[in-house]
Amino acid sequence: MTVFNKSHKSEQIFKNLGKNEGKIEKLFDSMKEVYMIAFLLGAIKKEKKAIDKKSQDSIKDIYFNSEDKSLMDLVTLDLTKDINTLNKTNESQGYIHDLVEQYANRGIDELDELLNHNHFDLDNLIATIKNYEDIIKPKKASIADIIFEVNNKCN
Amino acid sequence: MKFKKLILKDFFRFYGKQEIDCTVSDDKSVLVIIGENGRGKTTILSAFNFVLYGKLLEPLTEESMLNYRKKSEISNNTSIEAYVELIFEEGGVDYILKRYIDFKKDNYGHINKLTRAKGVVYRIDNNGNKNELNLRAFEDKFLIPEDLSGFFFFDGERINRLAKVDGKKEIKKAILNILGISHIDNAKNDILKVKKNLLSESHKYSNGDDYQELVDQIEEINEAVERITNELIKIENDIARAEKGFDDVSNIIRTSDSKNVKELEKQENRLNTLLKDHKRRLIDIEKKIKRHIGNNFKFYLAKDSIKDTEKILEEKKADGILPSNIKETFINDLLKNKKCICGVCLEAGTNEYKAVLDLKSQAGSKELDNAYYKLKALIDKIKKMTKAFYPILDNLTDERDNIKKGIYDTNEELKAISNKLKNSDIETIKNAEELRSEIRSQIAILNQKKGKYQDKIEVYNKERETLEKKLRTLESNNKQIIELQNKLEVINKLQQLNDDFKQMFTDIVRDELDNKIKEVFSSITSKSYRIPILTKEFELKITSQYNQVGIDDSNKKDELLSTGEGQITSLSFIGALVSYARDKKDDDVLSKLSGEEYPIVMDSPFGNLDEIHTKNVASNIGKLSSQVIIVVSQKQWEGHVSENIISQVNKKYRMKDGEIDINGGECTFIEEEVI
Repeated sequence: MTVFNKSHKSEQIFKNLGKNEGKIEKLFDSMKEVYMIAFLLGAIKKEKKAIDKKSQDSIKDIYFNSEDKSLMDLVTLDLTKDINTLNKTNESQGYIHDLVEQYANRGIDELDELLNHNHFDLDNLIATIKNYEDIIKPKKASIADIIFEVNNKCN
Repeated sequence: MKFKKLILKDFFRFYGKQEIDCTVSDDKSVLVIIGENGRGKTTILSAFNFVLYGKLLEPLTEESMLNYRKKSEISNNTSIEAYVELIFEEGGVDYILKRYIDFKKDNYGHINKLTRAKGVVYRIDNNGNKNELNLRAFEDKFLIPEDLSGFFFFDGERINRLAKVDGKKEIKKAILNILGISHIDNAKNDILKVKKNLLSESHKYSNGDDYQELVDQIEEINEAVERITNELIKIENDIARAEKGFDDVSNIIRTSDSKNVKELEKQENRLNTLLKDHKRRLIDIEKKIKRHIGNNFKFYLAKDSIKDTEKILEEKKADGILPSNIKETFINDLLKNKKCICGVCLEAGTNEYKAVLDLKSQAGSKELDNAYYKLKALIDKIKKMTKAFYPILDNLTDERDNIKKGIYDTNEELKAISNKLKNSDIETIKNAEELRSEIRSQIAILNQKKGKYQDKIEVYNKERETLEKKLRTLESNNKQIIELQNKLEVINKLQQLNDDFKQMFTDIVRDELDNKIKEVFSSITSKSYRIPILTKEFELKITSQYNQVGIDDSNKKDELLSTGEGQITSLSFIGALVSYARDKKDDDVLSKLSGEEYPIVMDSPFGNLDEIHTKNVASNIGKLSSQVIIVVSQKQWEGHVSENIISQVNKKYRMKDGEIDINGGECTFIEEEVI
């Protein structure tokens, strides 16, 4: 059975954010949701991180729905620009799978940073998500920047 | 093994083909080869070593093996062979063993060795035919192991050395070598390997956690959880009591006759219901917010990935590749059914068949088409969500803020009602409300405490779960460790047993050799009161019956030996070894030697013996083995040796100088002499 691995080191972050256990309310319904966000955060940064030591608790492939799988295909296609990665051969599937694991492993660190290591506070999560809109929004040049640029060119 | 003939061809000093008939009889077991210094006495000993083991004794070298005269005789660009051949008998069958080296004289007259020493062995059948045998198998089966050969082919110097302290190691090695205990040694190596593996495995299982420590920690947690649970029960009882008290007091307010109080009570009930509703809605909206983020944030994050991918998909669509107009499976079906949709038959090899087959290469795969449609739908969703994600989140968080405000406002209103009741003109109502406020605070404090205790229990339970997991791993590892320790114990016992066996067999051989040495020694010594001992430390010792009386022989101090006495002690050991090998030929454990006979070849064995010892050794030398070949100088041969040995000699040879050739130099011929 195919599984998606997490690193032993980041296991606790995944658990804190999305493992349904006890009475503590979690910010996400499942670790799979956290995994997908981590994967996309890693992909946006275009930074992969190999898993040194695998956690014993992996996420089974069946928890990822059709849209999740398509998102994985989309990101891979964007990176490779090769339509053949979508052909469901063992080779292409293995490639996508490894890519997702390594991006997710990098992305979970990013998510942890963004949340400032606070894994349980909804206000903190909302603030982080709302701030993210500003982080990835292209910055508009200020008048001061334009004057600086013009001056540079004139000199 | 009994030597029948030794043939030397162009081997060092021995020019051409020189033969020595080695046959002996039961009563005449000695062959004598006499030669003056420089005639090649040591070369004869080396010839035996070469033919049996392919090795020359120092200082002889393979490069100089070809006879000097022969070198000068052969023409340029000619090859020639120098060899030693030994014909011998073993178990009633004759064998020929030959070792040789090929040489070639080049165009400049230089002699070059073409090969290293090579060997070949034949078995001679009843009809005199030669059948070649596998040399390696032959060596293993018939030859005295090379490490023991020094006790069967030796010179005077070695005879001197054995009886000295530095001979101890050689004697011990000989005893261990003669024993057929390779199985014991192999077993020892296997045992050590297994032991090493077990130790490393055991180390692997026992790292880190201490079993008792884990059990104690779990016990401590259990005790703490029990303590907190008791506290929790107490708090829950307190809350229940406080809530009942609150109800009783509320009842005073509820049943008041005052219109004003009744109105306030009604408002309070409405606000409490509203507060509950707000709280329920807050839970719902927070769930919605979490679900929205969990389900949709990923689409927002993927928004930059769709730019290029959409372009790629559009290009493929424009090229007619995606989605494909013709499906591979459709073409396969046509070919399988051998009929096109237009009705034309599609027989393999026809033009129609080829045309449809060509279409297959252009057909798209089902997987790619599916992926295309899914990606198109996904891209639409991402586009929508890119626009909608934050507005939806904003709406949801606004609603949450409103609910939170509603909760705050409702609480404020409830406080205002409470204050009004506290300021009531009716004393009972005033007191009741103050009491309710107090109880409310108490319940709030108790609920806080309850929450803290519940959290503590949860933390403890988690910790216990982790420790129990570790304990389970350790328990399973402990089983392995105990199993490994049991195995190690067995291995240690086996190792001890193996060592004991080896020691036991070594002691048996040493004891038997000790007896045989005594036997041989008594026959050749002139001093019957002298007794040789092979000590437990494998030293050859000579003690005296008349010295150190009352002390056990093996504990007696060594008598000071003359060189001659040392030589006869050594010869006794060699004789004992030959005799032992013969006696134990059928014993797999106590001897790995399986031959019936073991000839001895000795170079100058009478070097330092005095008259009496010379007489004794000479008259008994034939008893050392069933075939004894001695190589002596004329001086050693004359007198006592000759007189005392001659009755045991079957044949006598003499090494003589050949004619000295101005170009070819010296050479030796071997001639038989009449006894």
